Amino acid sequence: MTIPRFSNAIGNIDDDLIKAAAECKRKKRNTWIKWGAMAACLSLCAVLSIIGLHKSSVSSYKTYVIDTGNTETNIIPAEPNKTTLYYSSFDDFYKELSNDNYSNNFNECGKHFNSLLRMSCKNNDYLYEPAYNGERVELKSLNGNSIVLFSQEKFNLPWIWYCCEIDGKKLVIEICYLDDVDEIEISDDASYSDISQCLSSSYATAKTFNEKDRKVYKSIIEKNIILFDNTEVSASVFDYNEDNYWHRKNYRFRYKNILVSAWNWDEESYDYINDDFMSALSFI
Amino acid sequence: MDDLKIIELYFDRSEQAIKETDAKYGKLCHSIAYNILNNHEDSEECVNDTYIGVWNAIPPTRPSNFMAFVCRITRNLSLKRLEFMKREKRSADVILSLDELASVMPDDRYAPDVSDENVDKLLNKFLRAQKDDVRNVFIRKYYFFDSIGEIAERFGFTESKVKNILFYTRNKLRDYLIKEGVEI
Repeated sequence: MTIPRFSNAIGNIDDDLIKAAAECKRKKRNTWIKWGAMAACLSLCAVLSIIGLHKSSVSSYKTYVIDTGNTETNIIPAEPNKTTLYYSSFDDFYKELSNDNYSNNFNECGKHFNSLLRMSCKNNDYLYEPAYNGERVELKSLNGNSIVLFSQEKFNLPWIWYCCEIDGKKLVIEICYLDDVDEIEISDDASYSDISQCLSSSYATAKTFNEKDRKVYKSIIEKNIILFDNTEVSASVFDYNEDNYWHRKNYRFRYKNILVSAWNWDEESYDYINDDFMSALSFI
Repeated sequence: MDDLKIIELYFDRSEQAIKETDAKYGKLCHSIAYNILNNHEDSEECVNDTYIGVWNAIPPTRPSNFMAFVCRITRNLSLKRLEFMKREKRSADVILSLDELASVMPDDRYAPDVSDENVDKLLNKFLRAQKDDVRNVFIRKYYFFDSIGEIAERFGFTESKVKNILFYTRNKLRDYLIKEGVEI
């Protein structure tokens, strides 16, 4: 840890910046919207169950209960211990995973994370590698962290982020494994959007796009795309508002047993994230 | 009480100055110290040391921004104390936060020719170029050492969004430093 020099730099930022950050107001969430939406969801569930439509509309999934105590409304509860692990290369990543004792270090980070570590440790080929034109992507080793493993991220599930550079464009490709997600039953034809909606009631989709989502996204479009290995997948294309940090485009889709999310890492790569790019993407 | 009046109390060598500082900024100082030290007793001592530091510095110093002045002293004292503490006693969040940024900020080994002043200037310039929310999230994390959960609550973001902002901003900072001729 290099405290002294970094600490000097960040410790010497200008007074007005410190003051602004110290005084920045807490944004209150509109609880009426939150509870209203929750009430509406519950009412809808009640109506659906009464008229028996739920069997056809959610036939792909087991019945699940939304945890109303959780603001994220994820059906998978958050684990008390979360961790984020960083790796500089594929080799570095696999070396850690192949260590038999590695998974023992994270016993308290949740069953899905444990399962992912165990499966990866047992089976060398368990993890998919993102590939471009059939070749494993080139990682972009900024600050030594090219692969980031979250024990819990979206939907309170573990995610692996691959930071890569393709044709000089920086991208992040995120992968989440569904094998041990037994909280919902996932049919073979369920899309990312279908699965996500079951995992989190607050998940934005093209179908449910509303005023609240408009604050974050310009648009959300559902479309079928064909990947490099000719697999056709149903993708949700999220076009973020420019004032939401950076102009970001994000393709999210389900491929076999994984959820995938690919987005540009910098503003310059924005145009690069398109159907053509996806047609060269695959997982090996 | 107005900051200028508090400063005047220090100039008058009135002990009321410390009481007023404590009333106005005690909570903020304690939260900074606690985020770093993760221990109420140590934090309390650091806050008291802060008041002594302020008392000794004013006069002759007449800070133009009293709040930032007090925060800076608390932060520096807490980090000094942290260095003396056993590793297992340290706050994991702080270690992680410092490690995260240490990897994008040059240290003496890799950038011996870059002066600290230069790095300070570049960091300030970089932060000023960011959008308000991004800048404030970054400062709350790496200056005040707030946890991801606290930042998410403060800004009304999801934790995932906060992580994204920090991840992206760290990398952007690194790119910026490289572009400005600071080889990492």
